[in-house]
Amino acid sequence: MDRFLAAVEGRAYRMAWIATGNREDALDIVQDAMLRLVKGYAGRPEVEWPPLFQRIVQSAIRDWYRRNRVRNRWRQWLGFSPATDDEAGGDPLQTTIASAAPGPDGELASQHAIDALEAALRALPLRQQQAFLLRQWEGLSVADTAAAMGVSAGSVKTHYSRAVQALRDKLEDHWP
Amino acid sequence: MSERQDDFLRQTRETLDAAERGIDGATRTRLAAARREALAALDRPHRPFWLLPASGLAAAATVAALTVSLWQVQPVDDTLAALEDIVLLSDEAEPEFYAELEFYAWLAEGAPQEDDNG
Repeated sequence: MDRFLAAVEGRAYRMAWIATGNREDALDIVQDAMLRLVKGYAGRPEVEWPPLFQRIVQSAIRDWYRRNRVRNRWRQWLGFSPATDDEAGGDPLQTTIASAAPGPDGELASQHAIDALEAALRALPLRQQQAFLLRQWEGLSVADTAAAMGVSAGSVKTHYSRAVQALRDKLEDHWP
Repeated sequence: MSERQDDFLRQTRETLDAAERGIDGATRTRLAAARREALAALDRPHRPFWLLPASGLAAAATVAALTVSLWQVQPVDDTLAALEDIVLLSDEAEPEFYAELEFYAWLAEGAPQEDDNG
């Protein structure tokens, strides 16, 4: 179990970070998912751990979204403005993509590409974001992705297809 | 799938892999600590409910008290919406409970009675 978690924790953190845009929340999601896997499924065959872990992580991300939406609703009700990402002005996604052009050295260009991709992913609806990351990055089948997301296989195909199209529209002409 | 799309998707995978490799040392340390803590749970026996942390019991009591008070002054729909908000904002609640909220709402709204079925 230690080896398995060590192998997947970085990727899970990155997925949670893309979804939440917040380091502490992403760490909380991964920590909670690890704990749930260990407590609930450590006795299951190892081959079952990857899809189970993904299901727990994606469920935790969806819970985070719902809690965040409720927090914003209550903030509005109490007279506070909801937390937004664009208080600095301008469109952060467009700013990031515009800066994704090749830099003076490879490392900088690579970081720009990472920033641009993560910003574009974060701008997607959550379901599209999950479908894309699980299919493309985790390499899960449509059926396993559907199980992790708690939706039908047809829904996964639709969300994935829309995500690919949206990402290509936003990034393809800007990437090196 | 077009060759251009294949190239694009390969590039996204490589970029995401690079992002994972680029996780900073402090975050990696936190992840390793979280993993150790999770694995330590294997050695801890399950605690009976009366030994749950006081904060958990307090949260449960708060939810119960608010539910009762809201139920007395508001229609069922509003009460359930408020209850859902409270539960979602409580970190002690299990995700499975959220999934059951629609069932509780359906139950409270008056699940089909036997009389309704004929």
